[in-house]
Order: sequence, then structure tokens, then C-alpha cells
Amino acid sequence: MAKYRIIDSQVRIGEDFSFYFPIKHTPEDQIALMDECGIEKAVSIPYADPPSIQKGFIRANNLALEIAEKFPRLIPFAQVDPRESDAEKELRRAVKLGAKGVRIFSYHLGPCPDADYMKPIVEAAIDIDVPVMLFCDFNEKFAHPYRIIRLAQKFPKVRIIMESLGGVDTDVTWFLADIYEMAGKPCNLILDTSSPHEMTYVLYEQLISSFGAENIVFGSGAPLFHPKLAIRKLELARISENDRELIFGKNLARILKID
Amino acid sequence: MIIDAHTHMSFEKIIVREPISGLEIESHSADDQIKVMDSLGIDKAVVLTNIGKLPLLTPEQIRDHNATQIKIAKKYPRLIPFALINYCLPEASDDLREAIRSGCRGVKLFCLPFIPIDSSNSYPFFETVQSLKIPVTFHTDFNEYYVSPYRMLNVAKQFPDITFLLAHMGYDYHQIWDFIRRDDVKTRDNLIMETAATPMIPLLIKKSCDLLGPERVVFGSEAHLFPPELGILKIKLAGLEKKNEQLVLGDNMARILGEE
Repeated sequence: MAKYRIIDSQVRIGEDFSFYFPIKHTPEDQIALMDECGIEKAVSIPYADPPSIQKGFIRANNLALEIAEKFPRLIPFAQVDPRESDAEKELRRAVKLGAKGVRIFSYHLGPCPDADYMKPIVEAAIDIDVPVMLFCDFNEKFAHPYRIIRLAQKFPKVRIIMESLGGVDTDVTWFLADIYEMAGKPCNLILDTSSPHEMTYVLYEQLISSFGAENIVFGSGAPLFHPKLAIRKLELARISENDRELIFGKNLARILKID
Repeated sequence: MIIDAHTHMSFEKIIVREPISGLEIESHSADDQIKVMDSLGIDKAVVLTNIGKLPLLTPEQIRDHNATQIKIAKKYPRLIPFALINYCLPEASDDLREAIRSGCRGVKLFCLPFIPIDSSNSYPFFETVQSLKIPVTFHTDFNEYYVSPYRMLNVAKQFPDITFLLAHMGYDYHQIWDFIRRDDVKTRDNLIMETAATPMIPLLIKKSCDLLGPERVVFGSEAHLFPPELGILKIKLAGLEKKNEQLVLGDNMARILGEE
């Protein structure tokens, strides 16, 4: 029996054409990886095809739901472009069919997390009681953590999951103090630790002491990022066993209402 | 053999005040570093800088820093000292010669905005580096204008006899993919990818080895800020052939440093 209940907040399924080295990761591959790493469940976000447009998101949503039917350990999240007129309808449809949250991807053409067009999606998420996960990277002007904090402040009733704590490079460290200072405590911002670098004591030890462990969730960023590294990173952090258990799985189980 | 190409020390607990306040960096002595190395089977480690309260920019700070490096290495031969040099200062070449004469084995550079590293104004300094036959470690970041790996590539083209280690591989994995596919990077044999604080993507290590050759990738941990155990695990998860894994973990750095 695994020492910790691990629920991964962020895995991608399908084929990713966005890199020069295409990645193909089937649901079966993901389940095998979870078995190898002792991960009980994972939030599944299929790659959209075509990428980053509503048509691709709707296909990805259907795929996430199909995958969850066959593999209940893979928890489906919907994806929408909040600028599209049918975004709210698509979110409600996907959640009715089983999606447990919604993920919004931003890049230099938007959508911008703190723009007014986010309002219907966020209000729908509050209404149907699902969290909103946002892609976040401090090197991207429109996916910057400060914009996501502003969204969380504008809508205190929605649970906002900030993906990858804001970035993969070491300099994300410099933004963490800002994040917890700006977000305040208690707050509706949930920090997902998928993807960032290998540093343990700033990412976990100092973050917990300032922000609290209840709003931090474990994520791997698989398949590109290897879950074994993410798990070992959290194991090496000098934090209490209670906090480690919260981050590894208990927090996400609470947020997504998973038994 | 495992050689860590990228470690730091701090002789006291530092509270970083710029660019943000409150970030704590723990103390980490040479004894602490040796204990970490023993626990993980790391034979030797390059010590790049001692992290202190002040930015290391003035001639006095730099000389004091390098003297400490040499003192540590004399007591702990498994720690390989690199000199830190502010190449924008007029005394940079003299300071480097003195540091190497006293026992430093390479040089660590932070690229500074005062003189872009790839401008011809920096060439006299690199001529000194070339004459001393030592490797250079650069801090690199694709998202910082002055420390872009593309600037390092320009310097590496101008000085093909110097071995340049690209610390962090530029951090940003999207841009690392672009960089390692370039023909002028593939053929630039004096440009070495160094894995300290790179994203936790073993595939990056694998693709770097495939495209550039396993002789051009070296393990660095970014200790004590990062746990070296994770840096080693990242390489072990890359699925390299055993002999290539050994090159990355230590043999390449041994060759670069002229170690036995």
C-alpha cells in the first residue's frame, strides 16, 4: 500500500503537436505511469485538436469524458475559450456529463484571466460548484500570476487553481512571496505544484509557512514532466506529515469532492 | 564517477531583500556539502559561488570571494573552485589570472547589461580565458535579454577553443527545444548543456544527448538551493544508454576539467 494517497492535479492525454518532438500519451500509458508511481487518481486534460480553439476544446471535453468512463481514475476537466459565445453552455454541458472542473489556457493572444469576458464562465463555475484552473506562466504577459490573483480577488466565491505555481523556471521563486501577499489568507486561490523546478524549501517549506498547506495541491505535469521527480520533491520537503498528506491528495480530494 | 558541475555555498543564513523581501537562503558550509555528496555518491563538485548578502560586483568583493573559494578547495580537494569575475571591470583579466594561479579551475560569469557578453568589448577578457585554457560557466535564461543562450552561442562561435557550459540550459523548455535543433548549435562542439535547475523533464536530457551528442551534456545540481538527488534522478529517468548516462553524470565534466 502506498504511503500517501496521491492525486495528481495535472496530466495531459493524447497527442501534442506543439513541440518539435511530438508527444503521444494514451490513457493506458497514463494508468501504467500512475501504477508505477503509486498515484491513485489524476486530473485528465486531453490535448485539444485543433489546439486552443473552441472546436478542439469540445472534442477534448468529449474525449476526457469517454476516458473517464473507461478509466474512472482519470478525472475529467473541461476546457473552454471564455471569449466564445457558447463557452458557458459548453462548460455546463461537460460538467453535467461528469467534468469536475474547467481549465482555461492563455497565451499571447489571450484569453486574459482578468478580462471581463471571464465573468460568465466564473459565475457558471460558482453556480455549478466546480473549480477554475488557469494556465499560468510569469514569462507570458497574458498568463501572468498577478492577473490570476486579480481574478481570484474579483470573484472570491470561485476556487481558482493556479497551474504550475506560475512557471517552470527558477525565477518563479521570486514571485511566490508576492502571490501569498497579494492573495491574502484565507483565500480562494489554490496553487498547483505541477511543473516547477526542483527546489523544495522555497516551493514547499516557505510557501507553507506563509500561505498554509490547505491551498496547495500536488501536480506532476505528466507526461512531459516526470511524476517520480515531482513525488520525490515533495517527499524531500521538510514539512509535517500532515501537510504532506494534504498536498499529496487530501486537498484535491476535498476540492473535487472525491471519496 | 559523478561530478556535480554546479553547486553553491552560503556561510550564513541569508534573507534576500531584492528583488523581493523575505526569501530565506539557508546556510550551507563545505562540511554540509561533503555530507550531501557522500550520501548520494557524488565524487566531486564544482563550487561556483558563495551566496552572500551582497551582489558580487566590486573588485574587492570578487577578490574576497575567490580567495574564499581557494581556501575551501585546499581543505576539501573534492570541491573544485571556479572563480567569479565581473568581466565589465578593467581589472577582470588580471583578477582572473590571479584566481587561476591561486587554484581556481574555471570561471563563472553572470552576463551583465553594462557590457553585453557578446559585444566585442568583452573579447579581450575571453582572450585571457582562452590563453588560460579554462572552462567558462555562464548563467543563462532565454527570458532575460542579457543572459540569453543565443548570446552565449555568439561568444562560442568567436572563441571555438574555449569550452562554454550553459548553466540551466536557458531554463525555458519551449525555447530549449528550438535551441538544440539549430544547426549552428549542433555543430558548436565547445558549447555544453549543463543541467542545473533545468525543468524536471528527462526528455530534455535525452533529446539534448541525441541531437548534440552525449559528450555535450553535463550534470549540475544547483545545490544547495536544489536537492542534488533530484538532479541525478532527472538524468537517470532520461532513458540513456548506461555509457551515455555515465558521460553525463561525470565523465564529460572530468574530461572538461582534465581530471584523472
